[in-house]
Amino acid sequence: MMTGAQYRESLGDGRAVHLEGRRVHDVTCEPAFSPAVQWLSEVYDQFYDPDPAAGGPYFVIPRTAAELRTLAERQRGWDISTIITSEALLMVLTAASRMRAEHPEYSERAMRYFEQSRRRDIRVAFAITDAKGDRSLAPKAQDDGDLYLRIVGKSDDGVTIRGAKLHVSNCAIVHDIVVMPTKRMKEGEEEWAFAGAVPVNAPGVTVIGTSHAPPPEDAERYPWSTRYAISEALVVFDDVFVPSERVFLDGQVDHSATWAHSLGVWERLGALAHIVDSADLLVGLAQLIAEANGLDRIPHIRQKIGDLVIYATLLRAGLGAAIDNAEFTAEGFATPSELFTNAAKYYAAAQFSTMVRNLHEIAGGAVITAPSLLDLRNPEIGSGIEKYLGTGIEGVSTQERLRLFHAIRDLTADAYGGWRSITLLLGGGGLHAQRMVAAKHYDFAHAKQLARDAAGITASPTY
Amino acid sequence: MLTGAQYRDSLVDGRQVFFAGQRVPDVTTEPAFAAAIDWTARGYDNNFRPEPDAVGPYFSVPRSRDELRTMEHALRQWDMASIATSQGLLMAVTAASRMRADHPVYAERAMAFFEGCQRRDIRCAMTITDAKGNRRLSPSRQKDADHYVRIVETLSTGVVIRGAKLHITSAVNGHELIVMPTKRMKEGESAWAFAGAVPVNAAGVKLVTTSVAPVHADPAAYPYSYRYAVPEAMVIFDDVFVPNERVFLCGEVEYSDTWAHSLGMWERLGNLSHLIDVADAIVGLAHLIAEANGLARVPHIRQKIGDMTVYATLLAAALEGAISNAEVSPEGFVTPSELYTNAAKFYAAEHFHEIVRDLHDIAGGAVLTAPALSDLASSETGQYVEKYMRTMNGVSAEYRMRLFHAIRDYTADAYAGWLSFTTLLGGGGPHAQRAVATKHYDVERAKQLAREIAGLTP
Repeated sequence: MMTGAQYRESLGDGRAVHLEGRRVHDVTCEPAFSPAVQWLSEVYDQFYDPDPAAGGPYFVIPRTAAELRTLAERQRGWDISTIITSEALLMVLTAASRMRAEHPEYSERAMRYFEQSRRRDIRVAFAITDAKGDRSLAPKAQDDGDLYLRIVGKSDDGVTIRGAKLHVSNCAIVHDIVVMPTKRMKEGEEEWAFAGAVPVNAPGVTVIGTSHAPPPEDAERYPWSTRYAISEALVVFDDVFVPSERVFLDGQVDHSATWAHSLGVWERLGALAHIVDSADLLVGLAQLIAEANGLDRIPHIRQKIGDLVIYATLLRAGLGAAIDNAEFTAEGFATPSELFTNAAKYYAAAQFSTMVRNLHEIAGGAVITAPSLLDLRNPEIGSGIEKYLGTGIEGVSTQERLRLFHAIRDLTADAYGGWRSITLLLGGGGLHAQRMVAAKHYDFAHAKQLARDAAGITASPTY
Repeated sequence: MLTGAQYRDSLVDGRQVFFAGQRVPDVTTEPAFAAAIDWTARGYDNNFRPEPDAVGPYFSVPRSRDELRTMEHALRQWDMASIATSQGLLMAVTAASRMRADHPVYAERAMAFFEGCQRRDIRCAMTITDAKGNRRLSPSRQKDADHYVRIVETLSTGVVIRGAKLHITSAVNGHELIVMPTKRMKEGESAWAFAGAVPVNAAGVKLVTTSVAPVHADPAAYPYSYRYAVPEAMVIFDDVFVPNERVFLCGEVEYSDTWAHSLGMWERLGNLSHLIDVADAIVGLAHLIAEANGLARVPHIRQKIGDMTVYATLLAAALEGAISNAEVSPEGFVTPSELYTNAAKFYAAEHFHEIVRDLHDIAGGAVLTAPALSDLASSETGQYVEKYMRTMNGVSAEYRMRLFHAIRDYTADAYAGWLSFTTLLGGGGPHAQRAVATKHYDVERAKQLAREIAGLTP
């Protein structure tokens, strides 16, 4: 296994990372990436075990609903890339098992990759969303065939791929990119049916990063994003050679969606658990700021906090139901129910902005206009700020109240807040996709029977 | 009138401004204020006329519904400081009219003050929200009586005030603070019933500012806020002397909320005009990005664009309602309907986050993850960004990336937080607007209709 320090060192591997028009030579020193590097190093140190046979606890396969619940609890202590890596490797196992009967050699490669990654203790990023060009056209019909990532060359020892993937979270600070098709490919679209693992520093890979990390000079104004902002990337594959042992799909259109579907199985749990925490965090911020403002007993404030509480509680119920109604894959892996996960995810995404609005209305305009803690320490104005942003309420210091305002702004009304809200809305597909999946898994027959009974229609219509 | 350059010079007047823990010796050279000062200066230059008796259009008072309609459309072209100044003047006209019978001296002083502003061509900031301390307690019961701005000394020549005001937009880049009580003061709270005008550079005034301007970043990634971000200020009044001719209320609790009510009406109407433009801009961004992505004909995308179109149109309809139902004061001044203004402002605030959510759902994750335009210009990455961020003939990478950056800047970044807060809370939160709308609604007529349906009519 790697220590935090070894992990940091491992990133100095010649990777081609770019940010805002310039090459980044050392990602560990770049403010856009360094919070995520720091967070991940801490997790490396936390789990480090010098035993050569040791592996991280993030590679556990749940086989019962109880084990699934335990995994969801544990994930709360991990950084985003560790969660992604856990999901990715479980996806590899799931997809390998689904492909075994027809394509045993791909299945074996994937299993070996899983073992090797666990041994190397690396972290991976998912690369799914293609550039996609004109979204009304299929990959083949685009005016540039590379707008969906494709295989442009094959040799005895591997394949060469070309294309780009969007929205690749934390790519600049992990080791491998697990690439898969963004959707099911049809007959005739074989060249776009590629899955495989590519090192971030492979020749031909260019990572063009974007970041919502705050400027470093006033960390207290950004109490959350200073620690937890991550980067995103557009990853370009400019004729990248992938050796055969890292190719998991090359033209088998019948399994082109197996990878993304297998990922969905594992991604759901983490996404939903994270959303439940986000909702509880909104409730906590709302209650604390209402108390700090002396408004916690005002009827319309209590009503808004009540709405937040119901939101958080319904999401927790959704997570619980998704676990209690776990589905089991052919291999015996426990996975959260698609119906409850998607219904909860949809509800979370559709209502999130309403809940943030409630929090803003409760907290008031000082979320945006509260002076910095640096102002509080300035001798010329510090006493004025202490006096006027204090409330006289027992147990609430001016400094604490300012910190609450800055936390609310940072989490919900600033650059990182924008990232968080769009990620929550679109992560795992937008509202429309989640609604469709929920509808697909819902028991319509039961609902229709109830309706027939209510209408006094005893037999099915015969026309 | 002042030119833009003269305006800039006028801001170097010894004002005490602080930003990020530091004193700002010259606001015209602070990058965080540059957008607001440049915007205000452009407004000066656009309206400048050299004739000695010329006045800016923001100093006009509408006397008919048509003039009110013309003004509400014209103000969308003005900078924010000019809009605030116009609203301040209209507030003074309205409040003076309401106070004239009982307190002619205050009415005269307020009108004289605004005539002076017009002559000097200066900009005013509305200064209302008090520090408020424990919001459960009234001003006289706070642990610190200064949590609401109050008169601490009355002299023959004026009064001395102490306290602080929050969320003051356009103070750093304006000249005068129009101070008024944040709410109605009750019997026994006359010390807190103060309204008046205080120069930004008066002795004892300190401005502690915040900014959402993108000073650290590539301007191309912040196409809107780079030009239009305005600073907010917490204004501290540390025993500030206000001479009598600038005092518009001094203890008369029965008129303590006349100023805020008069302002609220004009401010909400102005907000509504502005929010119609914001809504139309969001409809436009949604159309452009859906077309650029090749998704303009997908049913659920069309439905979302339809929802935001209805939102924008209902706001425009409500503005018309506020103007068509405007009332005329005894002096012949027009005031917008409070019912329609408040109902519309409530509706705009209550649903704004939904149209933003729909815009994000339509545009997709590249709002966050689109590379910078500097990545497009870079010789190392430019060809890749060009190849993969374009979508079809006629939609280049640059065109599409500019749209993504605009959507992020306007709706999902630091400025967006400010915009969403001011939409929600500007002119008071939705709860306040619901209450005002309810107060002005014709409940009797509604009850009569209900009685008829229920067969309860005699």
